[in-house]
Amino acid sequence: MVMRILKFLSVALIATGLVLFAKSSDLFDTGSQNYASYQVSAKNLQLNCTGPAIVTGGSTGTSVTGFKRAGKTSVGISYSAAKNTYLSLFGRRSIPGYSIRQDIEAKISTPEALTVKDSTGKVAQGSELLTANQLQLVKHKRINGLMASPCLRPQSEFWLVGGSTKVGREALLVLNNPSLVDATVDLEIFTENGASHSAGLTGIAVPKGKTTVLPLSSFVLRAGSLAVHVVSHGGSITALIQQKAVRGIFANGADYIAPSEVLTKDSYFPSILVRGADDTHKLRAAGAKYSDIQNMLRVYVPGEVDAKLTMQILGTTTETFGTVLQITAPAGKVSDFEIKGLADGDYLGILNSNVEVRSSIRLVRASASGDKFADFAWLNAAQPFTTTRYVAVPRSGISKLSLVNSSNKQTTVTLKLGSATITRRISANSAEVIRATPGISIGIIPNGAAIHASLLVDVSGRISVIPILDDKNISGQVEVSVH
Amino acid sequence: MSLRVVAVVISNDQPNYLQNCLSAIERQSYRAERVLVVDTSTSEEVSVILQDFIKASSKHAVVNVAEKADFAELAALGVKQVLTGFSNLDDVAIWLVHDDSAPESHALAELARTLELSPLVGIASPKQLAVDNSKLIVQQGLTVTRTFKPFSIVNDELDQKQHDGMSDVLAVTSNAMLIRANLWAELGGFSLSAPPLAQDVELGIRAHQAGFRVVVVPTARVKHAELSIHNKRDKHWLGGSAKYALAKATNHLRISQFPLTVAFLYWLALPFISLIQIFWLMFVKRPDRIGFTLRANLWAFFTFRARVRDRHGISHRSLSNLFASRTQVRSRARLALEIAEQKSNLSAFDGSTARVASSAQLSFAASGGLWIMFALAMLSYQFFPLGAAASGGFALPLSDSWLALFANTGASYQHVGLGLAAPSDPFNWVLLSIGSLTFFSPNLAFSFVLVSAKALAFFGAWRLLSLVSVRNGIRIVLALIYAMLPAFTLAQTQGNYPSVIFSITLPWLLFSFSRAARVGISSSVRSTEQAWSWVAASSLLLAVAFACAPSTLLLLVSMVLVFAFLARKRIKALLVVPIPLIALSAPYVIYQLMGNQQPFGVLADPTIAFANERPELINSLIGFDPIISWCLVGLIGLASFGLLSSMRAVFGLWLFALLAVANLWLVGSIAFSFGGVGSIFLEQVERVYDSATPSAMFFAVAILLALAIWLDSILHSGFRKILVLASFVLVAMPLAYLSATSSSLVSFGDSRNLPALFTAETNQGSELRMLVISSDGQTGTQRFRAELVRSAGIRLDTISTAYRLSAANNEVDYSNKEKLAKLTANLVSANGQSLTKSLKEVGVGYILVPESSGNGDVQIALNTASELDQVGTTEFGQLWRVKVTNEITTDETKALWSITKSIQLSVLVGFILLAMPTSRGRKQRVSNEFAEPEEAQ
Repeated sequence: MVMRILKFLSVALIATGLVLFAKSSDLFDTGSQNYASYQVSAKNLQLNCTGPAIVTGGSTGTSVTGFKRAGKTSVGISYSAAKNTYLSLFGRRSIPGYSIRQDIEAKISTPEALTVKDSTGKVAQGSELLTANQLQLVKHKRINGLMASPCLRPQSEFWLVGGSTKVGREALLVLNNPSLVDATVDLEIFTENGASHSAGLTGIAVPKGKTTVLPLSSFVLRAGSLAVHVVSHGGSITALIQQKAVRGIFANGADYIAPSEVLTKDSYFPSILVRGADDTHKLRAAGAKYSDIQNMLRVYVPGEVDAKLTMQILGTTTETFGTVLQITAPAGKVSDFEIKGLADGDYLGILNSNVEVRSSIRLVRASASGDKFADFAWLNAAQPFTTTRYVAVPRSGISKLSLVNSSNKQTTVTLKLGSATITRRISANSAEVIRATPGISIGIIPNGAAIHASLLVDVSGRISVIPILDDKNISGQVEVSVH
Repeated sequence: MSLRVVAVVISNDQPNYLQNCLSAIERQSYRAERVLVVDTSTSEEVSVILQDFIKASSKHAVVNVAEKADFAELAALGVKQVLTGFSNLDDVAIWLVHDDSAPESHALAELARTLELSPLVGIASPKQLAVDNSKLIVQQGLTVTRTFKPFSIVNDELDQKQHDGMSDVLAVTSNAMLIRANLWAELGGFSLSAPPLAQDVELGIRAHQAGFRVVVVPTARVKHAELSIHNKRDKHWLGGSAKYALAKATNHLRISQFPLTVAFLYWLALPFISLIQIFWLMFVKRPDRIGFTLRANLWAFFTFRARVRDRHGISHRSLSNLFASRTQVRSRARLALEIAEQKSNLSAFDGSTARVASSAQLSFAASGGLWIMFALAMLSYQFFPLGAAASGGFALPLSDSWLALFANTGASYQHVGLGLAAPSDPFNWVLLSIGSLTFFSPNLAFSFVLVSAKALAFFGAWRLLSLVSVRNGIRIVLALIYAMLPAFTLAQTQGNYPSVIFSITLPWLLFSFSRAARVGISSSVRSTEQAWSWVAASSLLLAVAFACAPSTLLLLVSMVLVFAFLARKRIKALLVVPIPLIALSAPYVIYQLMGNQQPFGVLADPTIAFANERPELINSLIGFDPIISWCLVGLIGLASFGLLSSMRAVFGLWLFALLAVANLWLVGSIAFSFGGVGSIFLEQVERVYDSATPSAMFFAVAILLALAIWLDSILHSGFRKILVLASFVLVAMPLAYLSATSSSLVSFGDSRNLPALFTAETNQGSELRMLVISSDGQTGTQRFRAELVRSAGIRLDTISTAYRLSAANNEVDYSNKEKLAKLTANLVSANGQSLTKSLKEVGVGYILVPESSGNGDVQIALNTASELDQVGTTEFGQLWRVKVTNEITTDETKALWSITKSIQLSVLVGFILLAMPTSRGRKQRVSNEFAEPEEAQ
């Protein structure tokens, strides 16, 4: 019996030891799939500007198909003028590359494209080579507000998180096809009720060189929270949502909703610059038509797992105090969360989630006196970057560049403003706001840590936010793994 | 006229027998005039005996032959010596006697009387009796079958005088044969070119040709030890073993006695005949005969001229009535079978470790097993093949044609991806075997594997448990638990065919090993043929197990060693067990070791690089569901009580279970590279891991066997029943719920998994290749994957682990890899560069970009390529066709065969034949042709 008990104990001991201590790790490795880099020449970099604001209703305001452009929009361009390149400025003229950065402003009345033609195909692409954005202060009886958007590189897929089709709100999906191939577009629209299954979401034709404008209310009527997924087949396109608000009988507030970034668990929002908080509060109390004048977080949670979110709004100075939201966003739906209690000041937003989400913030600016207005700007979570990016600063209004250091260490950022170079120190998980010189582009050169940035433009109290993008075609060293 | 007899005794190192022999000759009532001993002995004892023999009489003489000589030469020498001085041979007869025989006192008298009475009788032979049993006839006359195989007319039969009426025969053994001297002189004695066992038959036939009769004289009786036939003499005596000598004799007689044309054709066909004989011998479960049969055939093939020298233009028509009849052959075969069975039964009764069941066991069907199998199949309703082929998870369809499946199997050039001169996965042989069941549509049989997996696993587990328990309740409940274990269910829901097939195979493997080793509470092995069947089945199942789950190599080797120890008395037969495993796996293993230089690659699962997480010990063993996990922990705890019982086997099984856990740790510690065939359609991961299911099933089977042994040993039936009932309610039922509710990644549809246009074109014989491009990562920093899909498509049988692991090996050079990568880079960058030349060089006729996030830009880039025509959207992504496909040529020459593959196939077929159960009738038929009548020499 003693032997049996010993056997029992020895087996139990070995089994316990194996289960508790035999943790597997990659002790033996048969190698991994190799990626090899290949130098290839790139397609010419092209940025497409969506053109002036679109006014619906035709001349009478009652037409359902008549879309007209309201005036002209200013396009701010920053071109590095690299050697062996030249910039085709909306097909009207060419600017040769003679190695001195060019900050250009032009006006367009239709969607138009900027193209950098590279005779060698080897010039590195990105915002350092060419970046552009458009800005228009629209004061039309049917649309009123500051509208800014980046000029976008035509692509096949976009996510647009923002907009509303409630009563008095108009969301137009603007699809531009600057390519030489007809495109067919499929849409997925998500609202606070989940995915829309409306008719007509697929097979939307966007002919080459044309613009297709779609009122989103034709798909999702009276939806308060929108997120739109645009997928193009055939030709590459650009996509934006033009959002406007009509309060009572007057148009009051407009902006573009630019494409959102990739899915992420940690989102950073620079440029939460709150001004006129008291006026906003007064207007909101004044009547239902101003009820939505409130800073707001919008989140779309893909998949089947609800997102547990923590939204921190942090002041960028010692005088500003932010707020924290602990919220849950249901999976498969678009949810809005008001950000209340922010006093005037500069803030940055950090959104942490347990699952990957797409998010944006609607920033409002209002004036309850004089030129009574209520404008808004849709602010996407900013892309992190560690390499140089440029942004063209509009010549009109006040532009403020917000830089966020998302790392846990203090970092420095070198800024190139024309011929001047300055260095700013940014604390860990903190932001710096720099007032930009109108008409002079800014080069942002991170020194190690990843930086998130965006440019807020204020024209006559109306606001809009321009994301800092880095558009480039596949070029240079392309990594390919052959199976 | 009185016959004068001279005796010639052939002696070879058998002093005891020789003494008896010489004494017996001295005691003969009919005296031989001279007795000459031709001695080749080296023994001192024989010398002493022979000296005494010479001293005893002046008629005695001895010739010592120092050189090695065969019987015919010694007989010729002896006869020549003994006849010296005889002027007239007409009344002289020669009595040839072997030293291992002892003629009874009247033997020579009876033989001489026969020759005196009938002048036509040229040769007379006595009845040959066993030395230790004078009532047993060991031989009485020789003949041949219709195919000239030597045949002993009487063999090991009790002497009830039933053969005393026998007279004329075709030939007789040379022992104690009395032959007229003049006939001997005319015939020239035995043929010197014939092998020993053909010499007497050949002499008999020539005697008949010379117009003499050859007769048996039953009243003459000689005891004969038949030392040569029983392999008790030096092997040089017969030129090898008795069986080999017999095979040589058969070949010699066929070439020397068949009509010339037939003999020549027979000689020409000997290599082919050898091949057939190998398979036939495997089929009749006599692989032990293969060696000497092949040697005999080789001997005959290369000594053709010597065989032809014995041709004497004899017509056998007149002798045909002396040939063995079919009835004689059939009854002899039946007798041989019965004797073998008797011996086996006696052996099993005497020394087997098998313990005969104390109570009658219920058969599987009688115990309700078939109904449970049906219920388990119903439980797997999700896997009911509503389409022709399974896909999703690890699952891929097989090639649509059997020939394509065959082409992708074995060690020949792999037409996958960039192409690789490497062996395919051994698992492809398993796929080929399953696909061959419905050769007209290989996917058909394969699609039923998942739905029937649990049922088959249950059946196997039930049979295995029947080796350790006679109680039906224990067997059914524990077999049910085995069939529904979480690890097994996981493999099933993921479409992990190798793991599923392994889980089905494992109990059968252990069962057949137990049968082959005769381990367990009862054994049904009744004959050598059955034993060989189990050995072959074990061999095949071992090969299948390794092919399905190379990660269990350590466990399989340990298992084989354990069984080898348990069956150490039969170790010789078990030595053949690894042969199929080695034949099927060796080329692959060698390639992984030498070609890829990836020793751990040998242990890689033969599947696509589907992203599976690193197996964790606990979850792999007891699953993820908390309730079921606790139930299984309880079961394992229950099994551990067996360690406190007196059953020794339980401890061994527990040690094996712990070894399985250790192996599970090893499996989780080996990271394999992602990639390979079909990976372009899979989620990109850095590393993939082997499935934990095989090791977990090994663990489970050891635990369940230990539990069954312990439960079976509990004497208190009430307590035992409570434990079994608790196992059913608390473990089997929750597992059934888990099995029924687990969501599956597998779906069934048609077998096409590439765009219809490409498939249709390749079905028409086009060898155009398709380039599949996919993008990973964010815009701006994305990387690209490219895979070349050949006309064979992406099928389970085109998956090559050697190819996948070679991609991580920089030493492997692919000529097209660089070109393809550059082509991909240029395509995705849409830089307008001319690509026609590159497309032609790599033979790409189609380009596919799967629909997934990030691939949209690639699709749009391809739209700008002037070399491509957009075909449109397919269910697998956007498809483009190269405009100049008519100018693209490829060197896709598919070789169905290679030498290695032929060897692999031969071994496989041979062992399948050996493993196939044969009916009693078939056994008899088999024995008719190849049974070894113990022809005496």
